[in-house]
Amino acid sequence: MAVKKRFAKRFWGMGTAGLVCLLAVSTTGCSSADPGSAGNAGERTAPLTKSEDLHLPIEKYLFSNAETVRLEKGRFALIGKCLRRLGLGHGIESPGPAPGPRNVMERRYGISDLGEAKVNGYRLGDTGTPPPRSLAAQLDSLSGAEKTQLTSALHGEADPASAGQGGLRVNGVPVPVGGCAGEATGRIAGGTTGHTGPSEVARRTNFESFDASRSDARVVRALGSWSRCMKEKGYAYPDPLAAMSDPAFQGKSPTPKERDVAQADIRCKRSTNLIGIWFDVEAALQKSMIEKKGPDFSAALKAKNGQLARAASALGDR
Amino acid sequence: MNRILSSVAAALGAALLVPALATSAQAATCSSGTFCLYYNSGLGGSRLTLNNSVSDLAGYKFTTDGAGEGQYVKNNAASAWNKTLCPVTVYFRSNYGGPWDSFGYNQSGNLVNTYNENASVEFARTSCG
Repeated sequence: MAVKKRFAKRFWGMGTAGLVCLLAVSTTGCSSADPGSAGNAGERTAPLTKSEDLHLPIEKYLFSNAETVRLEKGRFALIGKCLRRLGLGHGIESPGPAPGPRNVMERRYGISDLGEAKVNGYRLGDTGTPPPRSLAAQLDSLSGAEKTQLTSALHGEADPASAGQGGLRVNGVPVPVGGCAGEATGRIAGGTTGHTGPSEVARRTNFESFDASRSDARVVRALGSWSRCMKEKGYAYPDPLAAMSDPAFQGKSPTPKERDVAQADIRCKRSTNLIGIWFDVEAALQKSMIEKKGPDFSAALKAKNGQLARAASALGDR
Repeated sequence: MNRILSSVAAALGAALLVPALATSAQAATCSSGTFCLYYNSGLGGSRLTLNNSVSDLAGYKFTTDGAGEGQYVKNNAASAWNKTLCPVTVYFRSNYGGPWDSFGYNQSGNLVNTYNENASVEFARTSCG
């Protein structure tokens, strides 16, 4: 077990610097992204094929998909408990796996998975996960009165001003302020923020580093190289996000041309090391931004861990 | 909620063009089972209601009464409210590219990664409401 743990730590320790090192043929230094790493490029065995395999420093302060699932399961456990208190035993079906982006890196600099691009062009592939029944569908299956009762209980919508003060009741029981959803969110959030999910400082930094990276000289040069590479293949785009935003690629299904452009995009990313350079620059920017706001980020991490702990205990005493 | 959104607005400072708050909670309410994008911060102004993913918001307009009514939604929204059960994600660029803001069930707030840079909206990768 201890060996495994150490290995895992070592593996992830080189996750940023090590991976970037291999990618960063022309960038300014491998150690800048993670000076604490003991790894070196020679230890790496698998080639990087997807940008989602890279991890920015900010991800620690945001919620991964798995963490979002844990958070939401806890929140829905509390919502279910609240609905039962209001005599609405049928409740609502809670969400399945988080269906959003795999992580902040997945399509941050555009696409990077050549296999997917060959099939889907710039589009998202279907993950094949069956969706939970939508809230709209669940509400539509109820009678008018039941629907009103459930939305009142969930959201406390009927009369927000008097909710919880004896005004809004379901089955004679007072509806909490903000409904069961509001109550559950408040309990998981804890403290004074009143909302679940990442702290504002983490969300803002996630964008500020991206924004700043776009005008970094190394990124500008790499984007220029990528753009020239695309031009040689007959496509004119200033950057990969512009390519994926091409109005010609927004129809119902990808055209052969879209698939060609998407593959050229990734091949040019690889030959110019665009993702490696961009990631390296942004990781260094984030590291410095996080260091400058040390106490804020400590608080952000504490808030995140608190939410996850409260979600876990909510699941435990359903 | 308004207090929280105001403090967010204050924190963002100059990045916000119109930090106006909704005139009333009722006017800003997003229907259960849908996702709403708002023209102003703090769930203010006109809104667009969505039921499914949109890979490019080009052509969509804010539809309800209020500031921004009739204006294009793409790269022009300031806040969002998710009244679907699954996370909904707003992206910086079309085809779900770039940084993003994600909202869980009944979560609302100002756009941070996609403030006035909102080009696509992703519901579940399979349909989810």
